[in-house]
Amino acid sequence: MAFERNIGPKIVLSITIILMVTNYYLSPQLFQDIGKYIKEFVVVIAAVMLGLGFINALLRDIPRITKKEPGQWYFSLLTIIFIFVMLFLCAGNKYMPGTFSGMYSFLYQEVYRVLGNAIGAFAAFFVFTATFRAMRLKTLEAGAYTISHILAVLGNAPIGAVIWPGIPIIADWINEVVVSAGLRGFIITSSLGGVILVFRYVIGKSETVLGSA
Amino acid sequence: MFYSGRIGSFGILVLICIIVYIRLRQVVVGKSPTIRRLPALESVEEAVGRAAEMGRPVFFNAGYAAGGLTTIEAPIIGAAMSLLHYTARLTARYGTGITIFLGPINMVPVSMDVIKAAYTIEGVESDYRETMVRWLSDSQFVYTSGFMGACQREKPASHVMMGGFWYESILLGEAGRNAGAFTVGGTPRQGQVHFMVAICDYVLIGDEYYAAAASVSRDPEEIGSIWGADDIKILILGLLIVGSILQVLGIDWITQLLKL
Repeated sequence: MAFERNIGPKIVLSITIILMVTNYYLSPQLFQDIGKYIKEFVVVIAAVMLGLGFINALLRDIPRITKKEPGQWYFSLLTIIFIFVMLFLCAGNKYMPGTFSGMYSFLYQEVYRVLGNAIGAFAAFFVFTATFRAMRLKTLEAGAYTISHILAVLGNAPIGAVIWPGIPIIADWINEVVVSAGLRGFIITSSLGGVILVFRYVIGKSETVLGSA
Repeated sequence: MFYSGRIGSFGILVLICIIVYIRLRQVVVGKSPTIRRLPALESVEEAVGRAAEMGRPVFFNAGYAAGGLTTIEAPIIGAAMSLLHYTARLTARYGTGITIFLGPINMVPVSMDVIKAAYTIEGVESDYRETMVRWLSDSQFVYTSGFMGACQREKPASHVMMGGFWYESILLGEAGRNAGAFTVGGTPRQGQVHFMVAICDYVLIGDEYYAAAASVSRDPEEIGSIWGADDIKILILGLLIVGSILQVLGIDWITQLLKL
């Protein structure tokens, strides 16, 4: 008897989706308990995956360091060092918080978060460069985009009302009528696409999410 | 039995499933609609061709999509995997190679399998490398900075960004553009579409993203789901028009029905 490839995972996927849908719609305790267990199971799998990720990182980066892979080995070395430093500090913070919590907090608050914010700040420049490119009046769409953009910017800045009192009114109208209407249509159709994709998973007509296509 | 206020939405869900299933069956027995071509999807081949001419890599980005398959982002990521499969098949055919950058760690084995399957179908399984899949971080800015660094070092010819993007979409897109990459984008997340429009040469927006994911396979049953989706959109449009008119006339039974 021949079995289709992936038939087991497909059945698990279908049943899980159906159970989670029933968990949302049906109130009896049984469905609530099943939903709760599935969510807990996901947390357990995620925890196992963290351990697997740790081992994978070591398997990937240690050979790169030993082979001195050009352009890569120093990044791998830094990765391994920081993995062990954070692991040591996390364990220390749990068992000897008096000694380690300061160092752990320092690395998280003063290094990790600050570096993250620095990367986030790039967005300010990139919004400018992307907008500059998009606002070149090459097509009708680009023209509509540019005019709406200018009105929205002026409408939100005090200078807009100084130039002409109607600008903030037009900007509000664009935001509340045009943008809202467009976004609702967008949300409805996007959600519909998502629902249909999940339905295809349930009936086994799409399986790329399982890793094959 | 049902939670109060959710019977109406359950009815709509069942109706959607029935319509899509009917259309799927109709396509199987030979009835098939004509599907318009999506320029953004066709431009993926142009992007891969460019990479082949320039001898530089194709970067695929599925977005940070926190949590990946374990969150509400799962359908978006699932569709991204279909588009990855399509792009990977093209890169296998043209011999350019592909590199996907991932945020959710649970997508690493899935992506490896998808790319490997694509290379196997094209008959070049030996060209597949595990290094084609790069997991950067499940932290948004670490992921973003990792990708930006890769763009500067490796100068991709093309950047295909299709998936669940958050605020990092503009950073990723502009990093690719600054490295000289031809950029094709797609996301159903309404908060990021305006960035995509500004950044990319071609964009799939809204449900086009899911339709593209379904149509890349050219499988008749996938086409059936697009056909079903169009039927439902017409139904929703009709419901909106009739509902609005009835509401103006003071008749609110459609609203009451949906609130059940």
